[in-house]
Amino acid sequence: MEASAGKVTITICFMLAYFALLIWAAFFSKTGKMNDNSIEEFAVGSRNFGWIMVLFTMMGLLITASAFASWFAWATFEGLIVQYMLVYSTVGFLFSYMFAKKIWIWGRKFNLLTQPDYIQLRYRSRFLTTLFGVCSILIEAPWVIMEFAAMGIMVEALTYGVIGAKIGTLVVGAFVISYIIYSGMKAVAVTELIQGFLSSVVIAVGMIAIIYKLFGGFGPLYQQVMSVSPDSLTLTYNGTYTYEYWTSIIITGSLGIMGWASFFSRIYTSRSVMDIKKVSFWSAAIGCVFTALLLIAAMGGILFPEVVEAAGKEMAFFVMAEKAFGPVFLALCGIVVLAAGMSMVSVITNSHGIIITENFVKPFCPNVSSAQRVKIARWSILVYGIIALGIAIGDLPNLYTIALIAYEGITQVVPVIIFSLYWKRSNKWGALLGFTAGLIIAIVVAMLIIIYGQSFVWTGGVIGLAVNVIIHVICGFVCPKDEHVDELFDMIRDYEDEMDGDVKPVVA
Amino acid sequence: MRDVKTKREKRKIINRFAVIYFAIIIFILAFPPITKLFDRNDIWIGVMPLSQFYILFFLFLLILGMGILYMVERKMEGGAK
Repeated sequence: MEASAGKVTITICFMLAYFALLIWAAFFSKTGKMNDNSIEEFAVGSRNFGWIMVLFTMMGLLITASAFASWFAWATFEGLIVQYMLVYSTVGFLFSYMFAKKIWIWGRKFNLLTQPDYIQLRYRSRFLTTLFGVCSILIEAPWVIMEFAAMGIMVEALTYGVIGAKIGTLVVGAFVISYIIYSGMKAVAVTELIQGFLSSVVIAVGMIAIIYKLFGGFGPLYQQVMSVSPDSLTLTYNGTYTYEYWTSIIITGSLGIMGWASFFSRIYTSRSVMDIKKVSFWSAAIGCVFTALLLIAAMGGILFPEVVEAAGKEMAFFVMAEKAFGPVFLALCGIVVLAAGMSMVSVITNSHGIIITENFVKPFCPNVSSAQRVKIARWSILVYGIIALGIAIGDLPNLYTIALIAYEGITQVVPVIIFSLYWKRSNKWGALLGFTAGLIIAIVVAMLIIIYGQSFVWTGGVIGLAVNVIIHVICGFVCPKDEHVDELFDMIRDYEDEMDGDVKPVVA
Repeated sequence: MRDVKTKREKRKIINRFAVIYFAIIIFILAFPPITKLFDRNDIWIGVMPLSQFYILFFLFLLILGMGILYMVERKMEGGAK
């Protein structure tokens, strides 16, 4: 991308306008303000978000800055294989549809705020709860740091170097942290609404427009890709990948969505079970269409040498945007990518701040009031944010690798969640031993693959998952059933009866 | 009470049917031998190769199933939230 004073001015004006809009939404709009100073309001917006708000926080899980940078570039180079993202996100939202009901009902009944809270309720093991809390933060934090760093790089690229990457990271990061501290999940949701809406319009309209402008339509795009790089139109890229690899990344990806601690925060913000189901359906539908458009346009990038060259620096999306519609559209796309990064970072950071407060601090200070917990959460978010920003502006040795290995770890949470929801015999020993074994296997195999180039038919996440499930099932049959479990499952039946017309209310 | 029981039975049947339907689609999308069968760029369906059509078509069926399931569940709960 060639710099000029005009282009820089356009981009900076767009960025300033966008930040002004977010500042109004987060700090001055009525929707973004906390109604009271309780931890429930700060952490999950008093469980009273409309489905549109929840929808955009859910979409933030999928539309990240990496999707526009790394995945777009990968799709430019290797085509269809990257559409595993399309499959895993849709299947992941299906899982959300099927599994979120009990999580929401128990969350509402017992005032649960975090994923470790849920683990404590179901397994009554403080050690397991703390382990889940620590692992959630360790596994997800590299993604927050990467997104912070990526946003700085985006700012530098979009301003043609006028604003450096480190300054960009600090400014955007400080802004995100400040609005989370100000109003917690409320500010996060209202900014996500704006970010999500903007991203939706730009991707839906922008990608179709790009495909027609640069390639003459969908058919001509596929035909041209077929003539230049036919391997891009196969899932294995002419044997570079195996079909087992395709299966592995779909399994780990789709299950992984449920493993994110911030996924629970999103569920708890919802008003009702039917709202969560509605959100899951629309997230799957909208996410599928947008991701498909993005990745199909990305495949066409292989036809332009300058886009291919930019893909090496993960800037293919921007080069293609500028090539199609010039600097104004490029600035708009830049805002969308920034929005996507901010969206992911804000939900995870908020969720981690609440985990630190509720699952690490509160057990040692059981009498601390709700307002004091909000204060602790704000300090936690500040310290967490400063550390993450500090790492992000430093050198990032192997952070991308660490993040990829960590994602294999997220998947190991899922058997624990699913068994806990549907199998009464699932107990803390199965959860603890299965999760630990699965995590170790996933990390070791992933490291072997990365360090020694040793390849396996299945990824470490899938192998760990299999071992995790086997251990969980064995422990379920060997150890006695927990006594409190029947009571929990009865609550679900009562809730269903209530929905079916019985009179017993179970949800406060 | 009988009405509640009937609804519970209905819900069970719908859930089982939905699980089977979704499992089949996920299986088609992710199971290696089936994926291999559809992974062809020499056969074209309309404007796109079979490999691309395969992904989009089965995802469409999956989303359609979710939409129908949501509408059925909503109707069963009498529009309750």
